Amino acid sequence: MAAKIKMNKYLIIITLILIGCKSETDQSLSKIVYPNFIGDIEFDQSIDGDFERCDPYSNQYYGINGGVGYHGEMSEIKQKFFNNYKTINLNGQTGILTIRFVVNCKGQTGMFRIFSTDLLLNEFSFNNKIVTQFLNISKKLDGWEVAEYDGNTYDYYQHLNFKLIDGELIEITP
Amino acid sequence: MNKNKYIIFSGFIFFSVLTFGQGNCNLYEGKCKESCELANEAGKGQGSRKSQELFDKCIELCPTYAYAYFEKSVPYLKQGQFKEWKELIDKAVMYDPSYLLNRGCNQIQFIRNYEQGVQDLDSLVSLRKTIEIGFSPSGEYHAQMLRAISYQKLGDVDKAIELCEELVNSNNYNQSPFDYFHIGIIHLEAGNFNKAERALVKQNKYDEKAENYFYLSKVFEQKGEFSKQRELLEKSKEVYLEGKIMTTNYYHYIDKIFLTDIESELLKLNK
Repeated sequence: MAAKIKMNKYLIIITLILIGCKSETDQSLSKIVYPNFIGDIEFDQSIDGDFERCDPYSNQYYGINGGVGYHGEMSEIKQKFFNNYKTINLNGQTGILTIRFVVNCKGQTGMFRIFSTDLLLNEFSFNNKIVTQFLNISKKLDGWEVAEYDGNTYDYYQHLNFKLIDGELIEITP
Repeated sequence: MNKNKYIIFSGFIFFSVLTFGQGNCNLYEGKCKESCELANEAGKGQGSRKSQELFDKCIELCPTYAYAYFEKSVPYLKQGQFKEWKELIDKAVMYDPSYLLNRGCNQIQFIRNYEQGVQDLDSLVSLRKTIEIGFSPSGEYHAQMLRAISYQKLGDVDKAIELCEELVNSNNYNQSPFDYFHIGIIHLEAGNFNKAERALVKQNKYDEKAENYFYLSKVFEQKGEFSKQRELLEKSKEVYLEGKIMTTNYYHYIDKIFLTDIESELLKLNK
């Protein structure tokens, strides 16, 4: 009887190990669906309205204009945010807020998307009053340089990262 | 910069690439060797669907192959998708702690996440028992300089100075492109104006840039020598318009200044 109980225990342990291995294998084999290029934004008329893209494919900001191309450079962008963001001091509103968008061949912006993390870079959602302000200021930026190559103009992806601590704006990159 | 300095700088970049290259595949066996060989193909067209899928295949073949996680993480970092970047680079670090260097430097340079970044670099220094842990992936910074900058930004200027001195006094020290620019700013912040001046003059001799003149003007502002301050700001503007500025495609350098910064300082002086 004692031997049977011992054997049953072994069987349970082995079964659990096998289940563990199976779920690990299933997870590693599950196929991730990637966009054509990491960071691509899908056009969605319900949120992107009548924003016009000039090209089906957009370059990344760092491949053109030698980095962030804005009239007045990064200092102008910083000034717009530091002057216009009305600080909402809220404990715990700490992390990185990223706004990613497209600058089209005419220098117009659209297709804005939000990503955000805490400072450990885990997913984190900022208070809506904070997000809305950054989004609205971003949408008002109108000095983006047009991407040009060989006499033609193109669309490109741009993003801005805002580091916030307890709702206070600390730094803007890239 | 003279030719020799370009050679040294190129050497740093080469060293950085080597540090994070896929390595010699003959060091691996079986499926891990296969994974390593596939990583060469996967590395083409970074960020494309095909590239990401091939890196997944590398990981499937050899789940402990740190390089595949690292390479797969890079496009997320560049596109500002930090959660996805961190999940992957954490795996690279788990399987190969050398990636603490990459994770730390990128947290500092791309995200200005000084607290987290310096923790990684400090950990690697403790692990290796030396400050010679390598250079930033971009190649321009010795990791020790990024540690110093991080402590400065976190408010510990004394620690920043201590780390700078440890670096420049080390046996293997070779001046990197922006070392004395940052050393100058750190001393300026600490109120060591003569040391700040010496560092920024030294930086300008190494590589004349508008940013060096700008911070030199700040030194003379602190010293109360306003005509010298104005002269340096005007020089800074002149050099800026010649295009001699600190620039890189991915982000603006820490403490970089822009034309409007110079102009607003000049405006303040002219009031």
